[in-house]
Amino acid sequence: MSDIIQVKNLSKSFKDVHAVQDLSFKVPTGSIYGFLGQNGAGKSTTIRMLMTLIKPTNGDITIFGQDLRKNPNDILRNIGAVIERPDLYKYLTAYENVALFAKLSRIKVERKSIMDLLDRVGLASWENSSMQIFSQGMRQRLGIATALVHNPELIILDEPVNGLDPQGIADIRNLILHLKNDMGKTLVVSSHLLSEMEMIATDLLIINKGKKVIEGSINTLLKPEMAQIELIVDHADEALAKISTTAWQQSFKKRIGNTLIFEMNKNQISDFNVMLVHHNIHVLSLRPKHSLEDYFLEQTTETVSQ
Amino acid sequence: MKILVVAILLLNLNLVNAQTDVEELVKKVKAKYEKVIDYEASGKMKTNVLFIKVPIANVKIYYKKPNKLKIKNENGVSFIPKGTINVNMNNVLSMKNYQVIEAGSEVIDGTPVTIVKILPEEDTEDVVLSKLYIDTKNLLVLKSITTTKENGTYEISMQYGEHSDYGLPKKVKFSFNAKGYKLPKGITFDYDNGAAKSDFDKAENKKGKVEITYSAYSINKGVKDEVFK
Amino acid sequence: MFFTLLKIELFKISKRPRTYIAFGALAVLIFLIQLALKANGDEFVGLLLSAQEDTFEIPRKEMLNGYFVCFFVLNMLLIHIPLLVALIAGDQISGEAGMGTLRFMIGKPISRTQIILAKYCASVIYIVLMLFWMAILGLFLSNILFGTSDLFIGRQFDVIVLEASDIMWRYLLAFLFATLGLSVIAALAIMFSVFSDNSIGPIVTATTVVIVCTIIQQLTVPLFENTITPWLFTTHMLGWKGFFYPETYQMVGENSGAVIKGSIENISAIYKSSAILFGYILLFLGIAIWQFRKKDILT
Repeated sequence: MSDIIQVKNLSKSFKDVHAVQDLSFKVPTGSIYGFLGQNGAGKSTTIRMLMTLIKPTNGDITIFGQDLRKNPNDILRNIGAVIERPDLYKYLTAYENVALFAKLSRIKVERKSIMDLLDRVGLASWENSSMQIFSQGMRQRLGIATALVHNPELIILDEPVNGLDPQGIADIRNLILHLKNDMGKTLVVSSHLLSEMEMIATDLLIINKGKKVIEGSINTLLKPEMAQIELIVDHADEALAKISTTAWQQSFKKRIGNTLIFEMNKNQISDFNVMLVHHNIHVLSLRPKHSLEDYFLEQTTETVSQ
Repeated sequence: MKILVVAILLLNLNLVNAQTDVEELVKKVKAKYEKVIDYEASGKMKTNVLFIKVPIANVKIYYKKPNKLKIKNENGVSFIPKGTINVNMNNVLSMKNYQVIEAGSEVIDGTPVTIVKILPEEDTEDVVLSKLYIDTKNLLVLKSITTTKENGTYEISMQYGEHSDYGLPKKVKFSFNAKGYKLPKGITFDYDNGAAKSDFDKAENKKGKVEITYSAYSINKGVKDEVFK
Repeated sequence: MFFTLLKIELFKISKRPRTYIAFGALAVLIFLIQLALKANGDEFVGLLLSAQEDTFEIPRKEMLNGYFVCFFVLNMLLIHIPLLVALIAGDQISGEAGMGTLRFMIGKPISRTQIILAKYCASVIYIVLMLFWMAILGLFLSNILFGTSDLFIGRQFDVIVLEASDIMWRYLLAFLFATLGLSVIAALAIMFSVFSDNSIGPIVTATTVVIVCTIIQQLTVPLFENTITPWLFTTHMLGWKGFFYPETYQMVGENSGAVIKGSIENISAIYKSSAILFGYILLFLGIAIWQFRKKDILT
């Protein structure tokens, strides 16, 4: 089985609001599946449908080859999830929270396993501390520990780095990579922090306003040999007029004020620079960009193009 | 005319004779009752009042001359009608100045009785009128109907057994006028179990009855004053 | 799995500070009642029978005993305890929704029906413990403080005296019945809890429903008395008192009018009340399960 999750024509409406519309995607087994979208794009609604929190208006969800509607418990037994904020029981200790979720997952766990898990998420020395005193990062790590306690095949993390400081973000990133690389887990990670996603995701789904924008492996989507050039000039009209007389016109993608975006192969960048000098175009900044963020923005924001 | 005078005289003589007889009778009865200086007895008390639902209670009865009487439920809750204490036989018979009037005769449970009315001559007494039904042969009061200033009319009937020599009954039945009882619903917050409500105000029979069956009399062996407090 | 879930729910209840509010509140209330009755109980007892003082010797001292105090405590508190039950039960689903833990629970391999039932059973166990606490303080402690004697009960139209040896079994059944009655409140509060995402709403709503029902019940007007009142759960929650209403011998005859030891005046009324309370529990839990199964967890 190559796809751990298969979603077909999934829709969810809340009265007149279409939160998710006709969404289909497949999550390859063993991947870190980045689920991207701006706030309100429908990521959380989709994840909640995967976790049976919300009932779809339409569509089918198959996980581990089983229909989620028919066998929810068999499926959920093998999923660990942290959905949105890691809201656990504040009046319980770290250890008690993990032990409680182990029981809810219908497994018996030895104390040692729980301690190992707390150690792995860096909370071993906090086992008897009430969650109330935990920082956001610690809560997130404890949330992940509760998601991992029953050793699930599939881990779903909804906005796992939200509200974390840089160190916290790095910790979570490393943990996610460790889960995939060392433990062979499949992870679905949703986020709107795209730079983070770029660092860890192997596959990507971008949704906007409840609809799929694009899906595929990160290598295919980002075309690593290609680069986007962000050119800032003092007179954009004049510069564009001069460029239009050249073959570089074909590389032009769009204009945002005095910023002009071009797309070209990485090894063409020096020739492009020579052309600018040759045509006496006053360049304030020339910066090759190659990030998911640009891609994401490109796909999800309305831009002013010429 | 002579005949009339004689007749009136004879009648008068008869009346005087009869009057002397009942006074004698009451004196004898009184003398019998006065043999008792004190007593202590156990008893079973049964209450039959429309609005009082109590179990048959074990009570102790204490008496001391001249007119101290106490009925106590030492291990439980019993409502003793006040009249049973105020209007017992000793109380009636221990009045200092009273007038005795003959009021006919009757048969109670096969025993012929003489009825006498006792009227206190002093205003201070609570008793207004007491009617005694006396078994002349055994000198025992089998029944009394006493009207009081404060508590209405009480009817007491007595059955005697081994202590009849002292005029002490084995069973006493008190019958008295009960007053209405009702509490606001908001206070009691009763559970409606569907059983008929015994609303006293609407009841036909407003008499209350209390019956005490005596046992284990201990007569003239001394009773401490504390028990009457 | 159900028992694991139940254990988890009990564990959660035991770890929450608000759980102990009820126990503390009960202790304070019972203590205040005991203090008041210790100080002015004689007058209070006399007040109940003030009209009878001319006719009867009122044995105030004997009447004011531990059994009477416990009856008084139950009479006063069983009307108000629903608030304490709602405080726990009304929070069961909505509290977790508010905290955000509900989405973690639902994401586990447990059916939603089981979640409701486990939470309900945990609430019922909580009620049992609360009543046990009431029994310790209200009955056993009162018996120590006030001593034991026959139990006096003043009803609207009559007074009842039960022999001391004829009381304990009645209290046992009364406490069991009170558990059933309060379990209706738990079901009601859980039902409201499913419809809400914050804990205050269902707690206040459940308490309000109880207050409204109690007021309707107290308004002794035919409009309500013959229509709504016989079907209110608050009416039947008073069924615990039925165990203290004994049968009496017929007014004529050898033992006429006397209370029959070990008897209950109308047990079928208590059966009927129990059945109605069970009906309410099934109704409220049914609605709760139906709503919870189809509910989208958005918190």
